[in-house]
Amino acid sequence: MKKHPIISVNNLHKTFHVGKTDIEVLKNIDLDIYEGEFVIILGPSGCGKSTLLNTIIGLEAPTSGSVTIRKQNVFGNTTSDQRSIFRRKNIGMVYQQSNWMQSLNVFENVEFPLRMTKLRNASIKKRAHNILDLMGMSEYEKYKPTELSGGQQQRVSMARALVTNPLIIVADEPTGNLDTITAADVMSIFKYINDESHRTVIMVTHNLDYEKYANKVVYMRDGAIEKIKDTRKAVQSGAEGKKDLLEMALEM
Amino acid sequence: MKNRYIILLAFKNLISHKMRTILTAGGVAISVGFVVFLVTLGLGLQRISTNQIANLDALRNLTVTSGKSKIVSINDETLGKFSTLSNVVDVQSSFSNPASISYNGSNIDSVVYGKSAEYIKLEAPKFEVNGKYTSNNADEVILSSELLNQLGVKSANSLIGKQVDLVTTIKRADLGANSESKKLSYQLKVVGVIDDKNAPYAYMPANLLTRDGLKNYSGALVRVNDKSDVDKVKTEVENLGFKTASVKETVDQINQFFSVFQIILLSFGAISIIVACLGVFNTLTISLLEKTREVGFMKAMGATKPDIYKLFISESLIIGVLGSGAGLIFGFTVGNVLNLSISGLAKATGNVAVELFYAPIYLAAIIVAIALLISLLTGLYPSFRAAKINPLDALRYE
Repeated sequence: MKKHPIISVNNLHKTFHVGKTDIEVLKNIDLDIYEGEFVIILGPSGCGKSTLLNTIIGLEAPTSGSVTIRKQNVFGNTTSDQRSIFRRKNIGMVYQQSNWMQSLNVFENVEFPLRMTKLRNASIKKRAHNILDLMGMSEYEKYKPTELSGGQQQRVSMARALVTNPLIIVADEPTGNLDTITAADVMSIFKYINDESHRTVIMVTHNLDYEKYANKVVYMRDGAIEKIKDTRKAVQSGAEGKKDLLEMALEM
Repeated sequence: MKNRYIILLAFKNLISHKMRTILTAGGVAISVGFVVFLVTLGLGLQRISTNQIANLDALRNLTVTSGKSKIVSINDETLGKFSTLSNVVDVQSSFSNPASISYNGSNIDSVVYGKSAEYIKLEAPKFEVNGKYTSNNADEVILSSELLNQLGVKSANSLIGKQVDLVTTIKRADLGANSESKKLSYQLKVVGVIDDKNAPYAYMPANLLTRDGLKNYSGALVRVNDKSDVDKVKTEVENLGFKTASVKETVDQINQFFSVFQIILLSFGAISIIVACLGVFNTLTISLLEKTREVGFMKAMGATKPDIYKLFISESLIIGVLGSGAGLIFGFTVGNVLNLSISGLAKATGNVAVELFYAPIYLAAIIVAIALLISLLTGLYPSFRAAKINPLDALRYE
């Protein structure tokens, strides 16, 4: 049985106008991503991988082509506010810079995405606490995020991305500011939420070492996809019905 | 986002920049305090002036004269007409004429007023030695303190009960038809002294003069039921051909002057409020620049334009509320402290205590409303810009 892709990118083009010159950043991108995949987009700086990621999540409007997430056309007749609300419900984000809300502490930053939902105060607090606990950061709840180390901040970032229980996690160079040991630690968390929690992960990086975490690697060069390597083994089905730690943490 | 959460977030943002928030709100507080100070001073001065000119009771009086008219004159018949006008509760005549007054060898040229006891009661002059006629037909007189001064009398009390001689010549016109002018002499007993150091004059019962042939009065005092009736009665009397004057007119003129004065004071206040607004605007703009990445990421995570808009407007309003609240307390406190010290000083030096600053409650409401409106308007542009921030600006930064 052919599964329907969770994300489908079709014939995507993006051209930036800088002064009088046009720069074609994305050229004819076609990409299908299936539920539960760990996709790594690899490529040198300036190859358009971040632009591709931002287009997939509805931040950067394409010049032509379409992006479909869960059968919904992301740029089909939608306002930026509607795309914001769509991201809020479906996508968790982890970036190289954590973009903390400076006036809030770790706990408040993590609960922020839930403050945009209709959840009740008690549920919000319970969820935020549980997810921080899962990331091993509950003792730092009252700290300001900037008081933490880079690795700790990225763990809190993961907590913030996961707290809304999204199906898709996107990450743009999440280990860019970290030393290799801390980076491996962060990568293992991504691996866990993909392996055990079956979340779809899309990660942009230029670090070739991370190929081993992925089951689909997209190689990009000069705005085009060079090749796609699918290392995915048989679809795991044994996990059905079994609750993992993430689901338990986010349970109401 | 829920509105309650947005307000909480706005508070947290302001608290995380304590110094900046305090300085900005302080600017608003000083300007609102300054406005309160100016406005209460203006209102206070206005109230003092109008109180000085007339107690509230005198506002019900209308003074009627025949002016320069040769057609109409004020006599018992016209007084009767006045008293039949609606809302008129009392009509009293008054007559003034040059007179010569002598006492103890000194002789002074002054003015005599023929006024009934009722007239004097309505007029309510300030007495140095309180007194009234024993009847409207008694041979009695009330003198002004300036007259006493010119007569060389030092103590007002010493003159009470003494006789003065008064001679006055009444013109033909005032005696009615076919009479020659008439010189009248009276021996009158002093029963009171009016505290007036500006002019020498005497009050005597008008009945004495009418008994001796006076027909036409020089004026009348028309008293109306309520001060709001003054304008209506005034028009009716003027339609009969007479000239009128009322204390209310004077008070109206003073009020008019003070509204101009208030506008001048308010424009000073407006300048200070504009300066405070620039402060709020500046703070919000800086906060916006600092928060570009933060706001961008909020939108990436799912915040909508209205969420961001409300957040910045809330910050602006909170500064406005805190600032104008503190300003009101500050302004009213300064006014009250000055009131107390000025009154204390006045009492200590034997003067009448006055309230230089007058702050009615509605003023606080108006000023707070204006301050809020202004901080709302100031917040509009930065909030609008914040709502338009592109999330990519936050994420593109590498």
